[in-house]
Amino acid sequence: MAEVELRNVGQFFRRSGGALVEAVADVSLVIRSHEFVCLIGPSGCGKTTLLQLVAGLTPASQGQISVDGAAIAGPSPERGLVFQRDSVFPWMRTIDNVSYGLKCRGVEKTKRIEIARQYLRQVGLGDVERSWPRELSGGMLKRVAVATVFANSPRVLLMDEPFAALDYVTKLQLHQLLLTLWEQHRPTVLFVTHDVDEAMLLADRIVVMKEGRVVDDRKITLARRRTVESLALPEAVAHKEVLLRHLGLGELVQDRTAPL
Amino acid sequence: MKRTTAHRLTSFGVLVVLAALWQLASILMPYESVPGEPMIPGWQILVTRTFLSLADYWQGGLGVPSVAQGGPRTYAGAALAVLSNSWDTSLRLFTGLTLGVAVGLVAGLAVSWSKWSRRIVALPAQIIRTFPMLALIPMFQLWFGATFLGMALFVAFAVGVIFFTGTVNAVGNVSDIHVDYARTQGASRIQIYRSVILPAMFPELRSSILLSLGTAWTAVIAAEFLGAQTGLGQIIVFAQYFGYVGRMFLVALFLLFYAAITYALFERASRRLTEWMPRELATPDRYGAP
Amino acid sequence: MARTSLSVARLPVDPLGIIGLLALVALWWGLSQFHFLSRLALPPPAGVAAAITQNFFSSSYLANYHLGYGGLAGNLAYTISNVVVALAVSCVVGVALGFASARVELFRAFADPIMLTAGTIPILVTAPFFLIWFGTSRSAQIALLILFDVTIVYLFAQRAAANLDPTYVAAGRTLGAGPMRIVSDVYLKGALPEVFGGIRIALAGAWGLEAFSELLGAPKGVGRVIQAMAAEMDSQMVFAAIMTLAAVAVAFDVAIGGAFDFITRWRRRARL
Repeated sequence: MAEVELRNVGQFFRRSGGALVEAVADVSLVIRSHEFVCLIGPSGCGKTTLLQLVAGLTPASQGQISVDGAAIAGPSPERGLVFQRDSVFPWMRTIDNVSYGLKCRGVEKTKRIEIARQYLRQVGLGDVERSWPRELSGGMLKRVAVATVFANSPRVLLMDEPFAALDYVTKLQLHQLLLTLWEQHRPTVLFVTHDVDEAMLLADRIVVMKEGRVVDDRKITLARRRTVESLALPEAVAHKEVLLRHLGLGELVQDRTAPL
Repeated sequence: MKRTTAHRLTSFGVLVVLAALWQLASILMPYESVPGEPMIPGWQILVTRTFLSLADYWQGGLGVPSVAQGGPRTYAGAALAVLSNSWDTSLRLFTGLTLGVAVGLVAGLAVSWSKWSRRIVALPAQIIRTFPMLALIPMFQLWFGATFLGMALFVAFAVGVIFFTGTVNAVGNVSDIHVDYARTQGASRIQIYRSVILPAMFPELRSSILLSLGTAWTAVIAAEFLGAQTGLGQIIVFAQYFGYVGRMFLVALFLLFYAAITYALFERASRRLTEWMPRELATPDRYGAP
Repeated sequence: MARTSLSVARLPVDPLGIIGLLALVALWWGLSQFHFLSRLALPPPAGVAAAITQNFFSSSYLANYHLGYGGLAGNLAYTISNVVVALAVSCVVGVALGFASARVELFRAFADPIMLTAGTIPILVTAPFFLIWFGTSRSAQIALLILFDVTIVYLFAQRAAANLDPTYVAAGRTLGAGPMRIVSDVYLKGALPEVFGGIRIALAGAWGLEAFSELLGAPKGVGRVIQAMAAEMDSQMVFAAIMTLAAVAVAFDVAIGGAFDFITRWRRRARL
């Protein structure tokens, strides 16, 4: 479907003191079609900045980002983004939120309502389409945001720590929901997180960033719809140990001799 | 609901108490501003003799001759005088208000289009906000005379400045995340303005609207105080020259009543426009208009 | 959308804002050059500046109109003193009533309807009454301003005291603070930011109100200068008076803002 390529991408900004800060430094990365990639790293490592660059919200200071060989120019609904904070428009009813992207593209009203309704039902919110966002819980708002991006049938799905603020159970429910939708529509996914377990559960491939650079890139070949059992297999544990050590949590790991 | 009902009852009670205090003061202090005109006229005088005397401000017509042409003071004449002067005042008010809001809003949105233009107007806007608008009335009279146009333009000017600065501020405070969210869904600049900026800025703009309403009333009253031929404000100032406290008081009550109605109407309209908001955000500030 | 670059935000004044201000003056100058607006109606900036400097500290011209020999400054002093006196009185009264209403439910039930009504009505309507009761004296203007200021300060003080986290009061009491200390150290300091916001709003409205009530009748003051000069069709002097008053209003606003930032420097400030 869509291959995302980053070539020597860099992003600088000037701190208030005047010092130049490299948020993203010389990142080259190819994300294959339909791949589910998790981008992990300690806070401030540049992963959110990188995601914003791929979304096209900020132009990169350096390098090139392309989707299927075409350089990106600004944001586009074909690269849907789910934010960490609540981005759902509080002044639109649920159904109007979900159909907003379609409306922007000029999809005719009955058609777009029909599509939005279908996705709302898929995320389990069929009965609140006329509600105001203020009447929904945090988890429900996230479902609305997920339904909204999928309604735009994006080729690339970008997620910026989307479930970080949710409680444990809601988060696990949304993981399953996301996997179901992904299996159905197969967008290419770039998912930013700082949660190793979340990454292990979701990703085909985990990319680790530190101080603006990619320091590790590993394939996770565990069979899909991972379970508590499959995540306890030696292969999974080995991945997790390396990832934790990347995050500076080496004391949690027994075998500290394996190379990073 | 119970709380608001209780609140309304207390408010009403306090109004009754105030009216009674006025009556008490009129009995305790029977001074006269000019012979025959009590300094604090009691209600029994206000609703009869004082109200009847408002017939003096009826220009004649509709089968009710004006007092100046030798007609008697009648209740019909008084009612017509109140109606026609209220009409004049409201026409000046609403013409100016509509014009000021429209120009202020459009100019504010236009300036907000680019971050450069927004930065250019930020400082002048801040300074103009503290500008003593009311002191400008004599200039408007020099420019336009004591005409309908001059008064409406003055109202429009005072309202327009408030609305312009309010709009620029409100647009600047719209949360980035909503704008980004719309952009990632492919919304164009115009679509972002229509579906994100306008609704998102409305809660903050509401205090500007209320401030504009208050300012519009103040501006129209001020303009009428200084040399209008008709209007409620003109009656008050005219009565003050002759020491007719009763007439001043009665007409001021009419003005306050109308102002209260405009506030209530706005509250009702804005409640529908802000149905989406969490309740605690839905009560705006309405204070600060002189 | 609204991000300005950080290096600029650190300067006290945005240089682009200065450009905006200059553009405004240029616009004024440009308009005054058009002939359909006669020079009499819209005086050029330079003429107004000259009128201000010539008549600032002393002016026999203004003295001709019974406005004293003190020039614009003398009349400005009258106006400023009225505004300041009214504001000082209103702060004491407004804060006291506002705090009391936040603590005592019964008092609030009585005070709120009066204050809230007074806060929304166009206060200007009462100006002619004060003229009748007090004559064209200082009291008429000060009374009008107090009425205006008190309602605003009251409301902000009440809201500040009501919104103050009760944890602070509880903490103060467990640390042994008596009722007086609670009021002075917790309520007064905690409520200060919001009260200051109210004072700023009150002050911004007060200048125009004071000038206008002087227009209606006062012994002297900037409003009287404006009225006398408008009657003479001397628009240059009218503008000179308005501009000096505006400058004073801006100066007060900046000073209050600076004082506010200093006194409440313990606050966590949102970076914009």
